[in-house]
Amino acid sequence: MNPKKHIKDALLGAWRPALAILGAVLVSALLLRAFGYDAGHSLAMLYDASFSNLRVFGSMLNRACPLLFTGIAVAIAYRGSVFNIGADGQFLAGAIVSAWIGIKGGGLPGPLLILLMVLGGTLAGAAWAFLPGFLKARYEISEVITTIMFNYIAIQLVGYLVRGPLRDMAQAEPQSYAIAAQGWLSYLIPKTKLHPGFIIGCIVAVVIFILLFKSWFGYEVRAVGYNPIASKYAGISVTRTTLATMLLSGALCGLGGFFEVAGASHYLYESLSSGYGYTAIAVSILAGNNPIGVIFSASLFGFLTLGATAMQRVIGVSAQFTSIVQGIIIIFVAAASVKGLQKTRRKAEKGGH
Amino acid sequence: MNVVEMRGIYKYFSDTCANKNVDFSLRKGEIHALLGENGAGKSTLMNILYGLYTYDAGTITVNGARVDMENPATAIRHGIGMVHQHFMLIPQLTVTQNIFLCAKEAGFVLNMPTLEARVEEMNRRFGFRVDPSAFVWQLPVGIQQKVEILKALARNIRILILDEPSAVLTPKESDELFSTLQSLVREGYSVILITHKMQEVLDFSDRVTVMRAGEVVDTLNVSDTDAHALANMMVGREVFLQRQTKPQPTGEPMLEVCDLTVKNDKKLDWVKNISFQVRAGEIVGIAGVDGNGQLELGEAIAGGRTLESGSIRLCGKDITRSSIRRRLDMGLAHIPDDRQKKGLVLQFPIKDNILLSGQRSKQYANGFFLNTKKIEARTRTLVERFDVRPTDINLPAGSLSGGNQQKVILAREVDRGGKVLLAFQPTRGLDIGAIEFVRAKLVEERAKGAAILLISTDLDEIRSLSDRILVMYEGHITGELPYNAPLEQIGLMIAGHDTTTIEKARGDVQ
Amino acid sequence: MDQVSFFLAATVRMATPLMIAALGLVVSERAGLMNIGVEGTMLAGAFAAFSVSAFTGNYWLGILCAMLAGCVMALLFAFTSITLRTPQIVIGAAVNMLGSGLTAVLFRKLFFDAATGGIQVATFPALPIPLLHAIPILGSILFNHNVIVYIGMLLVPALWFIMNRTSTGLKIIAVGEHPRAADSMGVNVFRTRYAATLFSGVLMGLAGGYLSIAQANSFNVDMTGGKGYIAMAIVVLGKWTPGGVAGGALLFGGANALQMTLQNLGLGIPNNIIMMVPYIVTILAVLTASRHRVIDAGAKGIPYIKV
Repeated sequence: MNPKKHIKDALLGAWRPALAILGAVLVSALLLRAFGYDAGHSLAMLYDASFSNLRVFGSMLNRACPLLFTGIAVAIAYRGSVFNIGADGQFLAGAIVSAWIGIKGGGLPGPLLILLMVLGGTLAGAAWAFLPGFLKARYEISEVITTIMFNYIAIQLVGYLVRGPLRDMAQAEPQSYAIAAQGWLSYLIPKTKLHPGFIIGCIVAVVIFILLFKSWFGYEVRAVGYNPIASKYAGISVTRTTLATMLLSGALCGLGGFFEVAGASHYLYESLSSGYGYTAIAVSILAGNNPIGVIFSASLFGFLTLGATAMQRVIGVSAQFTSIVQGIIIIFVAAASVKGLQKTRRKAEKGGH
Repeated sequence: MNVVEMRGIYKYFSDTCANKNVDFSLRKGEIHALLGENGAGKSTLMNILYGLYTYDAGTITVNGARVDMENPATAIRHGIGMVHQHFMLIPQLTVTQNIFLCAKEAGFVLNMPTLEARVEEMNRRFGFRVDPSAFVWQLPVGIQQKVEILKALARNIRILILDEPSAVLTPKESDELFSTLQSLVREGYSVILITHKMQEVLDFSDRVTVMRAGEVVDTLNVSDTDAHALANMMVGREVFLQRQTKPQPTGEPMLEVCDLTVKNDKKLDWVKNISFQVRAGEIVGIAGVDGNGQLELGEAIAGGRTLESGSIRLCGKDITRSSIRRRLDMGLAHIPDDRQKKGLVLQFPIKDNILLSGQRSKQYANGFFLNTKKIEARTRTLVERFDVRPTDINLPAGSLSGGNQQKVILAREVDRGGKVLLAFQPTRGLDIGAIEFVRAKLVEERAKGAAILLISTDLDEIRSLSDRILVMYEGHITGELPYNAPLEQIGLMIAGHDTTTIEKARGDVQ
Repeated sequence: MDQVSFFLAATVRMATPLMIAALGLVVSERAGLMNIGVEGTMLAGAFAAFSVSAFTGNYWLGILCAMLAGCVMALLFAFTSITLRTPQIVIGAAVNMLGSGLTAVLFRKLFFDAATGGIQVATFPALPIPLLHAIPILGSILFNHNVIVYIGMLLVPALWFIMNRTSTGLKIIAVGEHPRAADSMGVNVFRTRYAATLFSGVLMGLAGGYLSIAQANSFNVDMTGGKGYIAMAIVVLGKWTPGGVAGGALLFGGANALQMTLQNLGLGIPNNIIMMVPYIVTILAVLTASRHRVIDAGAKGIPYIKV
């Protein structure tokens, strides 16, 4: 496919989600009115919160960063027909190992320390995805329950570490020691706290896009996702491909965990992930499970999250209003995409007797 | 007295006519066989009688009264029950629960001891031994079928339709089934038996209606006819057959199957000690009615099903334990029986379906990355050469017609340069143009020296393409015939009637 | 002895909401639906119970509204997944977000001042069962709770009976296992699936209401804290049977109570480690379940299309 056609397809494919977002915003505004808030003021607020100056714009991208990585991870898993609801746990596993290396590796030079943290975080994410992936691939055990269980184990593990072995007693709230200063990622633009996570996330999105659509590996992932039986008869190992998909998905989450620790928080604490893995499902669906689309949907959700914080501060509506908007967006987008699917199916049935 | 009268039944599926002016009648207390090849319209007719399908014209009379068959509930109300080939049972429920699910007399709170006693009572009455409290998933297929029959009987059914009942049974289970049916008939029940097995007609039925291509050929008393005549009616008169192949010398054996035994999904031996060879430059046809082990044989050769015993050699090398990937690399081309499920990724565009299985090859990939230009160029060539329409290679395969989907598979498999081609029902469900195209391509491949194994239920196809014909019946290869063997003989053999007995019968007549 | 009976009584209290929600899930999952929106549905129930109880002072009305709220959330799920045939996991995720968001926004709107000042909300009192509660030890473990705990206890045999001994239960299992066969026997697949989903929503709402006005007397944002997901795990652990679910819920409730008890005893095992146990047990249970035959519905998550 030539690039022009790609852009054309993307634009044609975008009208559905665009319409869904528009509908969701409308419904959300109506809800705000119904709850007795000033909807117009709220929307203006939302905009200001992310675009009034460079500093807030940087914060928005930082907010989007964990969603970007987990969103890409969920997207690639969905392409391979794996419902990875465990992005949260894999993200935390990455954060834990990155933080641990960062705290214990104070004697190492910065670049080496960062490299080790990246590797450790990525591998930890993949490791956290291994068992659910293996059980799914080998024994067809649903990944839904197992990944959720691993999420909770990861949350408890973080709790244990920040209350026990890694606890910084100087802090009132349970949190870990900060990672060694040379392991902190530098801010890209002066006067903002924008760390390189989002930019690298965009590069990763492009890389994963190329992997999915331009390499034989991605081709096999998609083939297995659409039709495992035909894939099997085409000589593709469904077991191996499913496991590889899950490991890659976990690794990306782990990398996201690394950026959150090394770029944003610099230490480990209990609510490090505010359910990113679950929001990532919405991010991925909104993007049509397209890694490049995830850049935009993650940004949108980052924008909503930040905006909602401002709305809470100024007009008093709970910041959780974003969850409503996100929920409505998912329902609209999902319902809209199902219609499309049915149309192609009907065509196929008609032709295929 | 006729309990069922069907008059002038027409049924269309989009453009094809599945039942054409069909008349059918069932007498009280008879076993009436409905005989015909796959696709003759037997099951369609009976699904109409059971209210599962609507019909486009005709009338149905049950016990003298006109009935508008709206749905199965109507049929059940009129005492008609049907045992489908694929059982309609809930594996997680017990026998009794399945029998009384949705039955009015069961009420809201189920009194299990009472209901189980009723099942026991039916057991006694019909000579069954079905454990009323067993879960259906625990039961062997033969018993499950009895549960299906009990389910119908529990609803005060007087007319029982059985669709290919012995297809899933072992010989012993079949015998039991038929003695059950005979005792039912003695009690005044009437039975319609859809079958393609000659012996069942001759041994157990009172009358037989033969169908071919959607029409009734004739209805006869079984005592007035013989296997010979029925086979002729079933497969049709000897038509002038256009041989599409010229004789040519054959080469080395490219596919060798030795003592192959394979189990089906129900874990029963379904392919039994089969041995044969296919040589370079010949087409070997496997004839037979659906469900006689062809599916399992095909999957075992393709590598999608593990085999119990025996061995398979491809191009002289043993592939008994080889992966599908290795088989493909060694030169196996495969046109699977179910193109949408096994042969294509419907959501992928045509070009990605051409790529399927070749995604790691040098032809289409530079190392890790796919070479889009090469893939597109090759696809365009193939789309043109195989006359795939529409020609837009970015259209999803799911949007193509069946014939064009098959052409995509054929193009891919032939283009891979396989030395052995496994063609499983290559023209099922295609229009005439596509059928001719696919057959011509197979002949072309044969001329180029490919060894082709053609598995088909279409006898015309088998006879016009094959150099040799193997007949498969109940998991065995029951005989090998030359391509010019009389149609009637093949017809008898696929219905499980041994040729030797026919020869004997002929001798007796003379 | 006191410690032990305190622990066991706490186990029962902690297990109750998990069990009620999981019992609801048993019904809908056996009907062939994969609803991961338990968390959001429970939150809706918790908030409805809390707010109605706060405004009217009537906790019975509160719990009734909790069940209604759960039913409404389930209706959203049923319509999108059964009628529109949207992927069920996706819709479940959306239900969770909606539940979390709506309750948080409304809570802040309606109780912003109250949240700081403290607010009186009518809650279910303990209702010792006459005579029975006086039985030594056993009395305080089983018969000295609020009425919803008893309802939960009664639900277990009641649901067992419905699922195994009534035609309704058989229909539910039939549409989950083999909808086409069920259809051929005259079962209305859509109506049965809708009914099962709405019923499970009622129970999830009840479980949520228990959290806010029976176990506690307050509402917090996201107060379910993952109990909905745990209920899903309990269903697997209990192999889709009411009795098994009760056992699974007691295991999780026990882990929670154990953590409290150990805290009291000061043995030095970190809570977080104890809290991991049920999750690990669940994974092991899923593993063993797959070795035998999983009793999960055969057609789960697959929309039914009538031909």
